Amino acid sequence: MSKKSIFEKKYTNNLNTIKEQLKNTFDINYREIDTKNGRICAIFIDNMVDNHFISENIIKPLMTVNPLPITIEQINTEVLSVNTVNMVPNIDEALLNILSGNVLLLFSFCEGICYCEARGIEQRAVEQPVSDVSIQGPKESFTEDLNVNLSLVRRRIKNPSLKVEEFRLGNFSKSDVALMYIEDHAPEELVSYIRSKIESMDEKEFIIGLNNIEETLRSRNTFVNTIGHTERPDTIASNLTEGRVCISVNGSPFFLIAPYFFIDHFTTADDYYNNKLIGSFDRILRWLAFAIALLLPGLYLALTTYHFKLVPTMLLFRVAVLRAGVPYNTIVEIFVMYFFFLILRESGIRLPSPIGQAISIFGALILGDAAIGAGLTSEITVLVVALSSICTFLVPSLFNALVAWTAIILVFTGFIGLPGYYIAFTLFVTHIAGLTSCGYPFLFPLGTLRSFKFRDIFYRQNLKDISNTILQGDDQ
Amino acid sequence: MLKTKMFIIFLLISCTLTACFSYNDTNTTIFVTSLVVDVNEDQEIVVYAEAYHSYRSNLENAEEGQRLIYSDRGDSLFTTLRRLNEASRYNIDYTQCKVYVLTERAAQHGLGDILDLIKRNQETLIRSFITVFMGTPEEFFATDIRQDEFIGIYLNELFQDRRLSSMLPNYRLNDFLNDRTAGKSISKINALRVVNTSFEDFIRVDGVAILENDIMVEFMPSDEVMICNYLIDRIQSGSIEIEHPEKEDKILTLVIRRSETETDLYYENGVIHLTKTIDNEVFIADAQQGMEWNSEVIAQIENSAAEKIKSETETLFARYKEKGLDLFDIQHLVEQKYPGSDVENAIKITQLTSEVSVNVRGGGYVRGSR
Repeated sequence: MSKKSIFEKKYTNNLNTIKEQLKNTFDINYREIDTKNGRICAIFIDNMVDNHFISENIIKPLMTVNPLPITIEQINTEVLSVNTVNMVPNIDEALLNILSGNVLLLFSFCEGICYCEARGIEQRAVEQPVSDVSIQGPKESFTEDLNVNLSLVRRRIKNPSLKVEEFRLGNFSKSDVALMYIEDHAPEELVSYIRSKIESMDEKEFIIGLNNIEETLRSRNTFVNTIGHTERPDTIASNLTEGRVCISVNGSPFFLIAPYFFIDHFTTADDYYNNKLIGSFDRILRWLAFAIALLLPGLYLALTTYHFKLVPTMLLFRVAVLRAGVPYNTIVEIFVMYFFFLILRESGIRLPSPIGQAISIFGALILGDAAIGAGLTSEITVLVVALSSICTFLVPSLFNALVAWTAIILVFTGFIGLPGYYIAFTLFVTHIAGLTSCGYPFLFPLGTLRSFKFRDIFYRQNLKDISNTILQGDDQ
Repeated sequence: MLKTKMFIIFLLISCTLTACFSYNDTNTTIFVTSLVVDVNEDQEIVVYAEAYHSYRSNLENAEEGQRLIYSDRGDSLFTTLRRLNEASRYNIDYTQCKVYVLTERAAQHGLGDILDLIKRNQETLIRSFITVFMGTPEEFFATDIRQDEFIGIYLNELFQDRRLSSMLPNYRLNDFLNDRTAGKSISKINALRVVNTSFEDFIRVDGVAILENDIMVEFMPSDEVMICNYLIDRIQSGSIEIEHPEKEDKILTLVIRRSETETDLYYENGVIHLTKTIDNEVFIADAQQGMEWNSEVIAQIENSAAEKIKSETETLFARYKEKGLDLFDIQHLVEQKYPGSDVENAIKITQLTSEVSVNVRGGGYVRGSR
């Protein structure tokens, strides 16, 4: 059998295998080109490629170059006007390239298969962050394209020490995952730990979102987020310089930050873009809001049901008269109001923003007033629950933990008053003190006696004094 | 596992703390603001409790608060307070009781029968004031004081008025509990009286009831309380009236800006020598018909005021020395300084010397002082 016959047979076999694998897939395009050397087939997914680019830079050269080279290497280097052209070692890799939005070229007159990058996937532009809003900081946020996201970070750290390791996870989904860190800033054991965790996920069938990875890294059985996420490239750049490791998945507009500590929940990008004093004040405000959100409902319950002697007389009488028409116990009243608040919050989030805002206003003004009028609650309870709820918005990343632990504190307080309140609070402190984030104590640097280079805890330090290697101690 | 064990231990410990607590909502509790204790002819304890009750009026369709006065009698204070609940739909709570009022009759009967419950009960607070009302409970509650709907709250704020501090001992229950165990067990408690004017009826503080071993033995009028307070260093503000230095029959009023009394005591040959060094800084607040300001007049004012204070303190001391009532805590001072001494009633063998100095610091009235 001649060489040509062998190549033609391979061509037909490969084409049939691919067609078999991708059968019942309407958007696959098999573009066959007849040349003097023989037939070439370009295979790609219509809606993932730039059709104009393919016509101009792949198909047109193949049809017009005369004579067409007879080896694939020559075709790649002399004919195709494409930036990325590579050989494909086997048919599985060929399928993966097609599904990734590349153009696969099969040749009937020479050995080998190659792919060209001609992606033309419609994607969202770089827009303003939605969840990490900054007044004075950059207005960029990540998109769903991993390459774009990496470029946004690289633009801020132009240093060869910035390392980006790529993983392809999920036996079925073959998702792209990037692990970013700065060599010598991030501790080697931390990078190895996270790398091993990511690699251990290779056996999973699907890796759809960032949460698949987050759940592997975070502490279990807790409402507290021990892994951070952000959609701001400047925040990621800042965390990388501090020695942390960041992870992202193609298709997610967020990056994970590991390790992530309790005090990190109280920092925002604007702390560092604003005046130092204003930044510090805002941070103290967040700590206070956290304390109010967590502790105020329990304290209110304890004082108005068990420990009247600790309440000023005038206030107590006022509370009594306001509650006079409420048929339920105070603890039931608080939980009812919390339930209303959670419903309002959920409806506000899920609806489109103009309607969501209207729901919030409607809920706050009408529902609260109507609940009082209907005798379901009293003004003072609405005030306490509303204040506590508003305070949760100042530390949004701790929202779930705050709601859960406020409820726990309320239940304990409802049983035995202030002793229960103290017990529940102690449980909360011991709980978060027992958590770890990628091997580091979650209360770091508060939860350790070692001295660390963390200069930036309860108030914002001078930018020149903030350490770039927080995970390495002063003693190192 | 350790966490679970710790959790269970915490919970068990907390249960031991909760015997005195129980869940009550504010709207299902009746708060007592003042508790009046009287003793009737049959030597029964009679209790009157002024209380705040919140309720929802279905007629008015509104939440309201109202004043209730509970009353009952019994052989003991505990039984009587329990019986108040027989006429109350909600639990009666004493944590907001601002004042314990003893009638004159109850004070003369003695506090021994009621004090144990008040000082050891979880609800009755020892930070509340204690006072003696020189009248009957009916008179007390019938007085329409318009400054507050609740006499308890009115009295609580009245007793905290700093401007009255020199004229009153302003005893809280904890002060009383301390004093009754020290020295000769003499205590001084604010006395109240109803004053009827053509326009209003008032309940006003009027002197002090003196208790010895928890029994009222003497009444001291207001003007003497200030002299007494000089000797026990409790003057924060106040005023002194002296003769006008230039015009006869006219008065000059001095406002006390600061006053300090130092006590020196020694026991020798069966006599206790007590020296009170009283140092005053005053302003000239009011000179009737005006006056000429010069250093001689100022010196004359200072001498007159010092003489007056010296004379009044020594006279007051002499009177109570004769009665054997140790209002000035001399017995306690002797026990502290001479622990082994066998002095039975120190005031009886005490010689007082008052050394008074008054310094005029200006001619202006200091806002807030009287």
